[in-house]
Amino acid sequence: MSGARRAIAWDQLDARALGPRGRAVVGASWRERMRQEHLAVGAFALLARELAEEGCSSVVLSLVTRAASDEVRHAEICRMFAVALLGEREVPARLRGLPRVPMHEDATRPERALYHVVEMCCLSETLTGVFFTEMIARTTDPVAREAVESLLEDEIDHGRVGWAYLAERARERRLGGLAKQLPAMLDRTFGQVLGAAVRKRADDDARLERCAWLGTRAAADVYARTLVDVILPGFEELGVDVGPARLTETFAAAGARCRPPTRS
Amino acid sequence: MKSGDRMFRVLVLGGIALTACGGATTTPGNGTDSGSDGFPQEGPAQVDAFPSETAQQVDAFVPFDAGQDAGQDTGSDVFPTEGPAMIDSGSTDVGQDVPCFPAETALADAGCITPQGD
Repeated sequence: MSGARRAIAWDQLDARALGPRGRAVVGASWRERMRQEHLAVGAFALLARELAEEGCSSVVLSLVTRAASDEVRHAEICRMFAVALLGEREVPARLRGLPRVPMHEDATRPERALYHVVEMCCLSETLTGVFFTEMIARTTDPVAREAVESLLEDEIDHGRVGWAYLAERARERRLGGLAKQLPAMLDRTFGQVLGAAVRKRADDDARLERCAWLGTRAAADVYARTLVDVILPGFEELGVDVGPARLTETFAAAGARCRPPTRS
Repeated sequence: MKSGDRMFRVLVLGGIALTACGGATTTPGNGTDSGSDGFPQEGPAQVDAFPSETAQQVDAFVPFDAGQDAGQDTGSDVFPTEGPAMIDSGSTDVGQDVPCFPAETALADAGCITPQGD
């Protein structure tokens, strides 16, 4: 299996330009991404099952079901990327396991399906789409660009399907307790990266960025802008009350990153 | 970062447009699974078997003898999560300590990521 719809010439990846430390850092990020993409297979399979049980438009069910297959291919692309930088011995040939997702014990079945789609697609996958868009903007290695583009072309759909389903539920006036759930969802998806950006020393390195990598500051900026400029306006567009979400520390941290620096 | 407005249009409005033409399957306020309101009719769920896409309604299936009632009500609200041990098959287990969805940005500080090898 090539691991990509498009052929990627992995042997032409210019890994030497990264140096040993750069290869280790960027390679480890792609190995971890492989793990997350594998977990996303199980997450989308869960969503597909819940949506099939709950009922939704065929375009939503089709995209969510296809997404599980997309993630299998993504995991393989990430594996190939990691192998190109770290070597075969440092990267698992294959993975097994499922994500542990919040099961919202007090929610009804329809509410749980909505919460899962929102957290996986409207939050996580929308963020991933913006993140990879920013990564491509900084990546100059043609092979690395090809790899990220092959992921991004699916991630856009993975985000969109969440907004499509949320729009359906909004039209049906079946949003349940979503507004109350949003703060915890935002914290799980955005909280620690935004917090770490304040605590950690910046590790941004243009030499690494040329090969599909984002440092702490660049990543935190993407997280913040995605939350402030894309995701919360998306909920507002669909009539979801984002008041509780705006009161969270996560939103405050994102807002602080988006404000222009004040002159002293 | 690319224009936030552009990303909003591509991702959010692009998603909303997917079902904007009335692809919904339920009638607002009607939670019943009737065929008349367009909600997908559930199939004949009286048997313990996977769906038969040949659509034969006769006993065309062989029940699985796997010790579970077709996957229903196993007593747990989550899918089984396998442990983190390496196995000889060549597969590496992955799992999560904290319930959350995968973070494909794969930043080491993302809340739900346990760095591999820890």
